[in-house]
Amino acid sequence: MMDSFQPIKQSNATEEVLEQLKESILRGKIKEGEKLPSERELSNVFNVSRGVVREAIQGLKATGFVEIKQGPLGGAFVKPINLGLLESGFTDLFFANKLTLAEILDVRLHIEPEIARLAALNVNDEYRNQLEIALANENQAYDSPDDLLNKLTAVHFILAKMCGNRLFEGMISAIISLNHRIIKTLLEELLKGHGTGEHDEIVQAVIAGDSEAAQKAMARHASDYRSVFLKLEKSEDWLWISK
Amino acid sequence: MYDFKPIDKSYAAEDVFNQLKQAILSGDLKKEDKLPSERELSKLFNVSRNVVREAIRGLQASVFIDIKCGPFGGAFVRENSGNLLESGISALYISNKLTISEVGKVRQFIEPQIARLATLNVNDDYRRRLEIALEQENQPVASIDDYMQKLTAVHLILAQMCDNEIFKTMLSALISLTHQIIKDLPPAQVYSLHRAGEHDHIVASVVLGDPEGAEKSMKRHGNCFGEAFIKTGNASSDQSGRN
Repeated sequence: MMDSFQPIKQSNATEEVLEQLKESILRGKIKEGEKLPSERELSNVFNVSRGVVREAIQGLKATGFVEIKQGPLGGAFVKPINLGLLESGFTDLFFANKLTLAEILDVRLHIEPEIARLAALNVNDEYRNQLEIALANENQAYDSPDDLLNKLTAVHFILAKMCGNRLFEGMISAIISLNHRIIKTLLEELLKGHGTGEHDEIVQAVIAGDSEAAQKAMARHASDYRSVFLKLEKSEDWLWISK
Repeated sequence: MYDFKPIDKSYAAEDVFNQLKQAILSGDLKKEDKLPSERELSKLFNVSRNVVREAIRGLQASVFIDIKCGPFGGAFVRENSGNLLESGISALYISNKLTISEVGKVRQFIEPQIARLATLNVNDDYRRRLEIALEQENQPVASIDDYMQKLTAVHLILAQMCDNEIFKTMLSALISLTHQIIKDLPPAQVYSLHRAGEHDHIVASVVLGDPEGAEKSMKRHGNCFGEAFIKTGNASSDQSGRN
């Protein structure tokens, strides 16, 4: 009988504690918003050191299952398990420079028509209302690139919700959010690269009838603008800026 | 050496985690690189070795690194293959936020497109790999795991061929969840889910460079296996009372 025992590898203790805690969270034994037992209690229950417990909790935090609050009422609190979990998967891929904008757009091109088809099958008054409000908002003035993008993605998110398949909804919402982030960064950079007043000199020269100055001013502007674009295209930095 | 910054003590482990993660994502630390030792990291960040260990566990839990034991052991950077998406999808399924049918439908929808894109990139190397995978399917199987691995090989090669990292990541996450679900079924049921030769037409079309044919035969396969999977999976999760 003794030889059926498996020696305990200290390095697996953390993983085992992490798996058991994760299992309790996923099975709803510890619910959203609830606090995990203290480090000391957990270390008693699992019969492991507090260091092991702390490492396991750090692992849960890194994978998005708990958040740590500091202070006297602090501790590790269970986060909601929702479709947002899918987003970090894509974000990491993107920051690992493994995704191009083209790939993102290809996937959207393939999946979103299907989502629109499914959404139309599930339409009801509530959704009609939401869609109409989103459309009306698109025509309102916007106060920042972010605001504009929010207004323009609203319809896509509503359709995703309507499609009735939560996996489609979660994946496409994650991809749209990522897409949104990239575009936002691009827009901000472009706006930075094209300040107001850059046309002043050109227009003044034209109005004054100074053809040579107009030509020069426009050449300068075009060349500045071109270099902003080329810099953007080459730089990997713009991918990170909005982080 | 790595351009790390000093640490705010209250979030020390988190801060170390984030900086190491950033170094991996940005490619400063590459696949199979060994992280500096605990002792070195604790010097670099000016924190205790416990803090470093917590951060490393976080990286392990979010599948950025593997820990190897022994004299040549240490923390090694993994290929970041989108495992966070995999663990996210699996968590949603276990916590009843996704049904088998939702998972099955998404697979049925994206795989024909993957097969079509794969065909556009076919070359001799891929042809050979697909043919070997088909041959393997007809070899005797040693276990359920072995069986599932043999039957997934073609799908994974096609995912690689399609040259879109998002599709590839999605599909490997979905395949791994499919395995997880199927593994709990009685073996007789598992073996009856997937008939021999179901991939023949798909591979034939891909090898011939016929994207429409590949798409169509994958769709047929999806309807066949997919529906069986959804039906069997649902029946068994009703029985086991996953609710």
